[in-house]
Amino acid sequence: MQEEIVKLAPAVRRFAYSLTGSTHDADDLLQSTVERVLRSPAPEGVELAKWMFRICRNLWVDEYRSRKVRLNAAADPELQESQIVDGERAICGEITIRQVDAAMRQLPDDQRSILSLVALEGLSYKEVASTLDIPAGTVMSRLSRARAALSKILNLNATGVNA
Amino acid sequence: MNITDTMLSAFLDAELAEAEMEQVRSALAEDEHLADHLAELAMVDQLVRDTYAPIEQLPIPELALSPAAPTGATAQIIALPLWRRASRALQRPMAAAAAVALAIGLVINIERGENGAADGSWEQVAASLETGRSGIRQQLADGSEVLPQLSFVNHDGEYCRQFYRAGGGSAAQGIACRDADGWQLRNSVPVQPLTTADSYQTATAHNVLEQLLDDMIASGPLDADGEAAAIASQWQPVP
Repeated sequence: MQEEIVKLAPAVRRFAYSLTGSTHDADDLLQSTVERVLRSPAPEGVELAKWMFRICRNLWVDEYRSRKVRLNAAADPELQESQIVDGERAICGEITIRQVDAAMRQLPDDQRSILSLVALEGLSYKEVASTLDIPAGTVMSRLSRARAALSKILNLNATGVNA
Repeated sequence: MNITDTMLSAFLDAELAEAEMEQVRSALAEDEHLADHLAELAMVDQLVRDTYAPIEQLPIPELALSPAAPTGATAQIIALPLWRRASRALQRPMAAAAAVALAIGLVINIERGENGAADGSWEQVAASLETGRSGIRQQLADGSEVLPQLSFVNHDGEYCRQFYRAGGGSAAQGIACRDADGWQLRNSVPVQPLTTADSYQTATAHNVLEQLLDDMIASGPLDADGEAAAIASQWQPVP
């Protein structure tokens, strides 16, 4: 299992980074996820990758999200760390990493997790559903709301469409 | 046919039934605004990838891969977050001190010498651990302050204590265990000095410390009576 965990580590860390917005917290969350998965191996029939994503998401909700309010109040000091990864360069027109991460922080936990798993990790709705233990229909509607919200926050949508 | 945001979003992931995929395709062909909107939703995914994928450029940290926790009935207890166990097992003042310390994670590097002792004043810290009750701050001769927070028995039957120490503009949290030679510092969690600005970083220390305690602790923390008895016995190992 250790070998498999090491193989999955980059994907789990990427996911952790999308949840925390901090490279430091992402590494930290990855390590906590690894520790937890070693103590509680995946139940029979659950793929290790999904199990790790689920643990990572749960640890984030339990241990990191409580700091969100404080972070927002403190002008997002952690975003400084994003710049270590990618500088301050604009990634699309005027939109910067900082703005995207700030927008992601405004999403409800599940919307953020789902969007990360689909857009970043390339999971199917079915895979997300079994990872987060929610119905596929819920994945579909929450993902749609997450995309619409992010698009709105980042001012991508000039035109409206029936929801 | 009304194409909803949900359909459009699922279309993007090719997650609709084929008939619905076809409906969306037809609508997109006719409605320019709808096509624009699809592009906006697709842009969201691209932005998310551009924002978070760059972490792959950083090396993966070294992972601790050895399973440490015991299995069976004890694992149930150990799986509980420590602060919760602490709150339950301790009397109120101690519980408050331990829970607050763990939650806020007042963990700052202990300056350790080669032998693992804190520094020249370790004897003073040890003396505080020997007689001080958890939750009660003690002033040391050098002006620093020691706060024993939690007492427990490790797997070797030795008594151990978690404590907080502050002085000279820095502070530390550590765990020491009592053997025949006295109190031995077993570990400290190195983190950056705590300031108001970087208080958000303390979860690392919190996690590391919790893991350490989980690895060492044989059962729950001592309650106030248990601790008083241990102090009275000069921390004689538990048979």
